[in-house]
Amino acid sequence: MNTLRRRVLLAICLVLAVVAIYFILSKQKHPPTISLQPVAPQASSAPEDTFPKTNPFPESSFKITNLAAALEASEQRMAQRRRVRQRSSDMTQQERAEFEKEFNEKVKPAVKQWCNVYAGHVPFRFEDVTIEKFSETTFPGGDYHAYDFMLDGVDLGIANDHGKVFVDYLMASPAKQLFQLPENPPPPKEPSVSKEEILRLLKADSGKEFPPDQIAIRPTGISTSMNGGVSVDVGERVNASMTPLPKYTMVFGPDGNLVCYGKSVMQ
Amino acid sequence: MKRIRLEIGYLLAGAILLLAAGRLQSQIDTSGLQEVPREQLPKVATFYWAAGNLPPLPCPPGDLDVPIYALGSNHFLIDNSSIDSGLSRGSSSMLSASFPHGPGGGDFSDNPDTRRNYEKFAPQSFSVINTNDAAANDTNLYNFLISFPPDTNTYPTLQIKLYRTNAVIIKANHFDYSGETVRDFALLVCDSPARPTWKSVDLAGSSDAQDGWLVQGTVPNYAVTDPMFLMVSNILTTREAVFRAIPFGGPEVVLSGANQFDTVSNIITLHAAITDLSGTATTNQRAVVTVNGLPARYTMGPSNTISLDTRYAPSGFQDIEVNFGSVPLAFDWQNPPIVTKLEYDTMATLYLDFENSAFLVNASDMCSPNIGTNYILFGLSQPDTIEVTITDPSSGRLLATNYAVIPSAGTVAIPWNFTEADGVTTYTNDTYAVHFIAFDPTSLNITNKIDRKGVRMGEGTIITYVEEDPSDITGSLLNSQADIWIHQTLSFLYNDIYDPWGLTQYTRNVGWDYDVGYARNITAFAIDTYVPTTHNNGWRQFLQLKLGSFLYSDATIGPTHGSPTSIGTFSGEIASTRDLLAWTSAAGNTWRMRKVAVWSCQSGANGLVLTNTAYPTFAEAFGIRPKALQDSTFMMKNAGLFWAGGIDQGWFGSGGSPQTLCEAEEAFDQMWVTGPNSFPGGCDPNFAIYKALNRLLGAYSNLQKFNPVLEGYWWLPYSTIHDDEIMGNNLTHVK
Repeated sequence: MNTLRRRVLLAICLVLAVVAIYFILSKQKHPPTISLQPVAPQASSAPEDTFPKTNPFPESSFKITNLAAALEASEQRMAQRRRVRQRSSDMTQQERAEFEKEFNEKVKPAVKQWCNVYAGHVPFRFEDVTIEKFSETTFPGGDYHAYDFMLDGVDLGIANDHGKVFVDYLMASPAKQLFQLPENPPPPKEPSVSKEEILRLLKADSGKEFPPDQIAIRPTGISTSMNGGVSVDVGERVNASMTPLPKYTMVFGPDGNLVCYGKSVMQ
Repeated sequence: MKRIRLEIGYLLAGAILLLAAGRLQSQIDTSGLQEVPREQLPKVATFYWAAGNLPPLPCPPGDLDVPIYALGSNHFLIDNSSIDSGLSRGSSSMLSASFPHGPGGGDFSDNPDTRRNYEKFAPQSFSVINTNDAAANDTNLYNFLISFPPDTNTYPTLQIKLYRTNAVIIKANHFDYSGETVRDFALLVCDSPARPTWKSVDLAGSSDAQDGWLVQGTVPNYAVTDPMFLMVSNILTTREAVFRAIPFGGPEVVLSGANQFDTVSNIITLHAAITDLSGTATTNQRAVVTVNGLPARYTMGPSNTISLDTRYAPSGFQDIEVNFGSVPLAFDWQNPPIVTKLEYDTMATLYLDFENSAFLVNASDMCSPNIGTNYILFGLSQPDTIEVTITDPSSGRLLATNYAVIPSAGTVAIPWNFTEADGVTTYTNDTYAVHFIAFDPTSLNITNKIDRKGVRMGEGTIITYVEEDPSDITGSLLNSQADIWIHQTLSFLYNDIYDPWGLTQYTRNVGWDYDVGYARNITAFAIDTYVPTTHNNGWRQFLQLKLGSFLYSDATIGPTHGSPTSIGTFSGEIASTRDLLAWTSAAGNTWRMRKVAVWSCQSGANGLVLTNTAYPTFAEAFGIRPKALQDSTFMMKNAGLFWAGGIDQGWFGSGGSPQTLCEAEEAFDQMWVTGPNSFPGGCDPNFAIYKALNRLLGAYSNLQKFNPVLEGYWWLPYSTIHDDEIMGNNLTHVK
């Protein structure tokens, strides 16, 4: 009887162990794996879309006639030019020398001009923009390329678009508040920067006056953890859904300093 | 942009001659000519128009009740001088060509087709013939193309010929769109050349009585060549069809009733004068009024009269937007074509100074309950006494109430913590009504939704593209490049995301302390393979499975063919935005994707009409809301990249080296995924998605003309560590 009882208990223990193992496994986080596509027939009830009977591509669509030559040309170009980012530590001596020349002749004057425009709202000191703070190049070697400087938590970007050099990006560490939803926040505060000041800065930066319907100004305290800041977007159809890339976009923090800044390459 | 050289062996004939004659006939005086009764007209002759630069017809005009005069030698003159030719709005490049009867012809007036042109021309499909492709692969077609008579004119003309039994090929000569930035080349179709091109639209429906011209197809302004060969297939040769080319940018809307910068208060009345193609109907049109991009309180009355209550917007200068959408194309709505722009949206704005004693500042609609307390903001322009009640709109049950004396002008924040009247019990319905009374007196009522549909916690990435015809040389190149950049490089980028010695240098630390979020190294990859005979490769099922799984928060889709309503390939499988919304939202409550990039033609070109009738936008299908909305309430942030224009899969860079779209696609993700502090623990945060796109457009400037659309919150970084924390009520990094 005891033997039978032991066996029953053993069986129960085994079942419990299996259940426990299954439970543990099912609770484990999914392993990082690459999922391959299934090849089973589709089972959706959604309608099959039409299959045009003629080639719908316009005359200007991409066409080649010599595959081998195209592949070779593509490989050559990639070998010579195709890089998205290049860290400062990866630069050759010649690349560094070229960068230092461009830094002194073009980059630093552009940053200085920008700092003058946004005086009183700049979250870093102009003197801190040095070669030592240079972080990386985006699309190095191309007619369009851009540099990033890390200035104590501030990412400052400068683009060189076919010789035209301008500050195209800034993000300071308080930006993390923009991606957070607050918990039981206080009532939204008034924006730190007035509309008049924003329009003055925008005109000084762009050199033109944008139509009022192309400027959207919203306090950040009504939608993010950054209470007291102000978001500014500038461009065509800026209030619509599915908008084109805004020409200018920026966020001023509660202290009036820029937290985010973007200037589009499509002006 | 390639151009072709045609060997032309004979002189003018056909439509171009008719066009030239039509131009001369516009000067003819009808006095002294003998009118011919309609029943005595021959069925085949040459009929010239008296007014407008319209091409002669080879038959009597079908349904036009105008005098027709004999010119002799089987030539006749149609006196259409009393009819608006509709030519006044076009540019100098507007000309027409009429489609002649097919073999055997027919008298169209014997059996008049009373259906709207939307329906009549829905079966027809439009395409631009790639002449290089024809020269290489279709000798018959190529020989047909070079059989067009030479064109000796210098002004824009159309020539037309019947091709096989159910298609026409139109040769467009001398159309120069190099100066166009907004309007595209549009081939219009109509059942009668005498109908006006444009009409005034009455949203109440009275303008629907006028039928007329619709868009048969368009060519992007940057893709217009001289010449171009356009094919319209699946035509019925027993039906009259007339074609015309114009520069087209969509409908026009002009607002009146107030002048820019006027000061207004309470309810104002505006009028929207809308002009659209004459064949459109209000069933395929829609108008929406917003203020600063947010829903406005308004009613639309007769003759497009808009009554806008300005108290439901902040005081001060505000932007009033009247958005008008129209679908001026004829197509089968159950099977919308791909690689075709279907909808045209136009926005007219007025910038007015709203001045009210009490007003809504911010409704904070669509707020996430995760924040605990929401604030509905009202404004007062003087000291006042206010009373606020919040109720359940379905039962009228009181949820909260307050009464206060406000000593000065300013903004009043009304807090509500998503609870019942006891302040503790969670309110479970999805809407709540706010009733605000200022005793000046003003009474405002709003109904808000609660956003229980959150954004997915940042995890893995879905990657997919379509396979081109591998037997085609260009297709073979595109396939190989897609394999390199999308399948291999992009997949590896994500799979290797936690490699401290890799490209990103991110680390996988203990617990939740990842640089960029948890499980970001998961990928799901599939190809919409080239299966032109079976159209069955499992791609739709792949999308359904992966979009419906919380393992994936991001998606990089493309290069793929597409339209405002669908993606895929006509040689494989196709998924509509309806499918994508169903599959994505099936994941559960927090179903909205965090980041999506759809690299297909017109993925950002859906609008008011298609969205609200049959198909959501791609952004809506993936749960990505407009920036204006994301900026106006407490909701989880997400973003998506789409393209409003047609996009080429490749182009030739400097030195003739081919560049492909997939290369740019990979660069975009790489830019966004990697960060400025690419050292262990240094991601705080990554680049914004705005920066990734902006720099991409600088390096790949060809992409600019394809009209990129960045929907949602464009400061969104790849790193999810902060939004993950907040969703877990971890406020460590909230400062």
